[in-house]
Amino acid sequence: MRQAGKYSGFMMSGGISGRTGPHSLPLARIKKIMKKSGEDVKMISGEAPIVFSKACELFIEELTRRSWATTMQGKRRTLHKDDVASAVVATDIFDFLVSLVSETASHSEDVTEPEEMEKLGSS
Amino acid sequence: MDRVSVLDRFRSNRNEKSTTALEPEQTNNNPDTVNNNPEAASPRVPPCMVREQDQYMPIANVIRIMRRILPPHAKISDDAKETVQECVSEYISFITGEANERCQREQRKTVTAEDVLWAMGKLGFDNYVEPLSVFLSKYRESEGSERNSLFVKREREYAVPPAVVPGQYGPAAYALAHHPGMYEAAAMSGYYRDGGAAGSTGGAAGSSSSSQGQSGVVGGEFDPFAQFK
Repeated sequence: MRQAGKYSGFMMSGGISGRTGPHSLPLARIKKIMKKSGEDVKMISGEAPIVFSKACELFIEELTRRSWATTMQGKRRTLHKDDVASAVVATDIFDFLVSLVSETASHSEDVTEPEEMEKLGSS
Repeated sequence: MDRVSVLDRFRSNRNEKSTTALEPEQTNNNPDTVNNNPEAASPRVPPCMVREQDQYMPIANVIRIMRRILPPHAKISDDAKETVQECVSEYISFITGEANERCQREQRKTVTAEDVLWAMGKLGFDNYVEPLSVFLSKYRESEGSERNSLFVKREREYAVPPAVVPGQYGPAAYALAHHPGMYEAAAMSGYYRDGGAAGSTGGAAGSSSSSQGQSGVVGGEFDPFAQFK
């Protein structure tokens, strides 16, 4: 399989015109999510979403790599949510995602938000 | 550990908000599948059957990036795709939260690319910092090559030593040192400045040379203002 290099795709055909290239993530969407991250996020420089577009690629790549490792361990060919959850649990820097992957895993209880904090310890 | 307290604050921050980007109900596309307790499917607020897509990266983009990593025969389940989508949004929020806090501490209004890079380093994503720094410097180079050459010009005028690196961005400084053409420009772009370019976007003269009066036209090899004449 052709493995894309670290920086592939971002300087294709004349370079980034600044907004979205063929492989970039949408900057406006990134900015929206950034603003939503806190009540007090006021202004965002134009470059910050651009850094994030690349950072998210790296993030997705890393998360996928780690998840796929779990899939392969199970001798499967389909990457499941549980594989993603395993990757999150196994990786220190993905600690902030632990509640997210265990939230989506538990539909059976009607959980109110404050209780989720305590559930963290069990995953 | 520092990161633990950050995580606690991050989580409590998200719990306080009335609408978080990633509420459990919204990910629940099939309330009447076997997994679910039927009673839970009829809550006080009817669960959104459709996920609000504008709080996530487009799923097609996410899948495309995932496929770069996976072997050609690999399949990805739908719930895995959605989970990765959610993780990306959470990642953005997480980093932005930290970057924003730093801005507030330093009484700056604008979250800059440098803040984002700093936050990533602090939160454990330091192996991203170098490739992102290179990416950013190349972006700046492609976007503002004329502006950058103007700053190089000014740099020579005022004889300010290019970026006395405060040492905050170890990997970044290392990366930029390999691009001598960009070195002064990056410095002048405020790349190394910690808050010096208060709120200005990349490309602004954030360096110690505060004088803006001079037009910058000095008889030299080239005239950066030639286009404006």
